[in-house]
Amino acid sequence: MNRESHVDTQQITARARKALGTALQREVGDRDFPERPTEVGWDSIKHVELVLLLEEEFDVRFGEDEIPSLDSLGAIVNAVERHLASHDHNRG
Amino acid sequence: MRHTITIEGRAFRLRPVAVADAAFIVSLRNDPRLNQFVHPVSPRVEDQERWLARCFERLGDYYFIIERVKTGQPEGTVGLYDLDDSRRCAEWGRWVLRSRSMGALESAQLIYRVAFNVLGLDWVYCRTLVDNVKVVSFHETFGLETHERLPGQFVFNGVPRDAIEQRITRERWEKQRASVEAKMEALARILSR
Repeated sequence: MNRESHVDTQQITARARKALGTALQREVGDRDFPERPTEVGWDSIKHVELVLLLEEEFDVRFGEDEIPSLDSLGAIVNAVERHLASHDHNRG
Repeated sequence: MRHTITIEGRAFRLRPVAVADAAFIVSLRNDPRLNQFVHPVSPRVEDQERWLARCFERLGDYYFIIERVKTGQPEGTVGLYDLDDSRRCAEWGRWVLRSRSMGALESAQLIYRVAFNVLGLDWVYCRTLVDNVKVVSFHETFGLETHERLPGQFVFNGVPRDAIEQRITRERWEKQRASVEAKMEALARILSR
C-alpha cells in the first residue's frame, strides 16, 4: 500500500486491528485492545508476522529497537502515527 | 560436551559455549525480567564455570551461545542434550534470550538444523513450564505437537510445577521450515537496515 499522509488515528487503529487479526489468526473487534503480555497466541513468530504486515499496510519501516515495543494496539498506533508524521515533516 | 559446531543464519549464529561465557550466562539467567520461567542459577561466576566444566564432560550435550552475526554480541543460550543414540532423539532447551532480543525465531531454526542436519536426529522434544504460554505457543506455531503434560516436572524454589512436552520429527520440520524461513528472511532484512 502506498504511503498516505494525514491518515487519522481512527483509520490507523482500524487498519492496525486488521493486521493484528491476521497475525493472531482471530477476530479483533472494535472494542478489542490486544496486548502482547496477556494475549496467549502473540508469540515471537506471530510478532514478526505482525511487524511485516504493519510495514506493508502503512508503508513504514520500523527500527530494530522499536520492534519489541510494538506490543499493544496503542503502542502500534502511536508508532505508526510517529512514522507517518515524520514522513509528512520530511516532505515539508 | 566440548563440541565444535558453529552454525550461522542470516542475523544470528550458534557457537559452542566457552568458560569465558560464564559471566554472560549468569547475568542472563538472573535477569528478573526473564527468570520467571528460567531455573535460577547461582549469581557467582565461579559456580557457573564449574557447571560448564561438568557440562563439557557430558556426552550428548551441546550447549550454544546465540550471537549476532554482524557484531558477535551474545544474545542468549540454547542447548541440545540428553541425546539418545538408540532412539535418535534429544531434548532442546536452556533457551534463554536477553530481553528484547529478536533472536527467537532464527535461534530455534538453527537448533533444528543442528539436530536434524548436523547430528542426524529423527526427532527432538522440548519441556516447557505450562504457564510459559508464549513459549508453548511459539513451539505450536513452529509445528511442534503436544505429546504430554508432565506433572511436577520442574521444581522452582521448592515448588513443583507442571511442564508440557512438545515434539517434532525431522519430516514435520522439513514441511514447516519453508514458511518459517520466509519470515526469518524478512526479519533478517529488517535487522540489517
